[in-house]
Amino acid sequence: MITAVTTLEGRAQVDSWDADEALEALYVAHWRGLVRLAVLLVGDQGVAEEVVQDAFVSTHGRWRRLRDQDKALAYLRQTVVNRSRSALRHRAVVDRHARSSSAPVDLPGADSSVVDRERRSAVIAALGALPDRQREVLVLRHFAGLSEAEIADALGISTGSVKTHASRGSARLRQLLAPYVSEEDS
Amino acid sequence: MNDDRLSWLLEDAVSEVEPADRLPEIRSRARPSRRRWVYAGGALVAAAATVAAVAVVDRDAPDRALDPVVQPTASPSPEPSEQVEAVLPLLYWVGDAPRGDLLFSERTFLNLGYGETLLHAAVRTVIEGSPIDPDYRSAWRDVQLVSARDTGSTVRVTTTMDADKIPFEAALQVANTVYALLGQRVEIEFASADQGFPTVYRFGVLQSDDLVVLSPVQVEYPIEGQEVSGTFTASGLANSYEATVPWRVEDVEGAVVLEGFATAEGWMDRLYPWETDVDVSGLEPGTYTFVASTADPSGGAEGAGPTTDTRTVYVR
Repeated sequence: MITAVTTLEGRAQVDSWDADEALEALYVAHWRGLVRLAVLLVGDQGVAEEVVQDAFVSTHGRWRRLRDQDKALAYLRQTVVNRSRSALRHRAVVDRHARSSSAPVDLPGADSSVVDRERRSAVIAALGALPDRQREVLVLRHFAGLSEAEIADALGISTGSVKTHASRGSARLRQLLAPYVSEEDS
Repeated sequence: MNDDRLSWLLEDAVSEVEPADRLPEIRSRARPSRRRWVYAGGALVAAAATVAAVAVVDRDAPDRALDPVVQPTASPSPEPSEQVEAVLPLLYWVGDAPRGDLLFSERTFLNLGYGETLLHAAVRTVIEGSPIDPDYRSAWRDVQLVSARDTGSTVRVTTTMDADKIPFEAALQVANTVYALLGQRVEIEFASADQGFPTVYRFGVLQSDDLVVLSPVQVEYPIEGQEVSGTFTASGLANSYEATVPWRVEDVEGAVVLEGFATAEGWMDRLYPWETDVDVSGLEPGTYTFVASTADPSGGAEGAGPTTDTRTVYVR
């Protein structure tokens, strides 16, 4: 009998329970993938984990407005991209203030061969040399597998701009990664 | 390079990245409900009109020996032993913008404990409190301020957090709040009260980086939740294309009921003051949102789109 009474308080509790459940489901499915995506954007695993952690907390806070896993994933991804951009900009600000150079690219992989590690560092460094938009478009396209329309949505730019950034970015990457481009069967 | 090869290189580059499990930390940060500012609501609204003059003095007279200009207020639970004074300094918080997280400012009505300096109260509120505007948030979480002292050449801020672990945005909030209060840029020295964390984090932001870290549009007045009637003056700072600051008033449904634009005193190299009169005499009494934004000359075709700053206002 009592369960038939829906109080405002009771409803609020159900909503927050939903958000917790959703958060965990999203975490299980996307935590590792999003951290990897953020590593490609910021070039540092520690920073990447912070960025993605913040994005998860923020998504939990917005669950009432998102209310569906697909929208939540799109929001998460967009937040990771935005916060990665902030993290890079902020690192530059601190570096300028301290008048020191930026930290070297930090990549794990103790188990891999020297050749593998060199190639991976070269890819991260090459991405870091691109303008923000080109790097974001290439990573969302070729790592996250998003369509041009989805990238345009995530970045808040037109599909025409996505095309332009993609073609300029991949031309530049081709130059920067010339030694690794032809190793089709490595 | 074909697309498959590019995808392979990107996937391979991070194929051995195995992040630590952060679910417990995410859970604990996500669950606690937002703390509400004690003055959100009636007391703040009632106080806003009387304290407005204080804020103007505060901004135009960047005196290091700044005495708080005090307006007595009704405390919700007055304690005779603790004299409470209230002032309205500019505090900095983190907010969302198309470019990523940026700093926004807010005139905040804060309580001064007996004998507490304005500097201590402002830094304490930034570190331990939360913004009034729900669009903003603090980058400080579960940290207490132990002391905030102005030594002349530096401001030393001692907290319960390991100085090395202070997030960039958190340090920015304190630095910009201190700059606004003192009217000049000094180095901030973050130290930890715990002897186990002996590190000191020296922090500062060059003026040339303001455009990188601050929102390019900031509303100073009205303050969040202010009551307005007739014609009110909105003001703030902006760096917007051709010094144009478009503004609008939206009703609760998000429909635009008034719009116009202000012209800032300049643009390009820093944030410049803007001011505009908003005539709300034709509006039904109720809740509205005042929105100021940067101009977007491309109409959204290029770049990240305009940045906005909003304030909820109550039209009487």
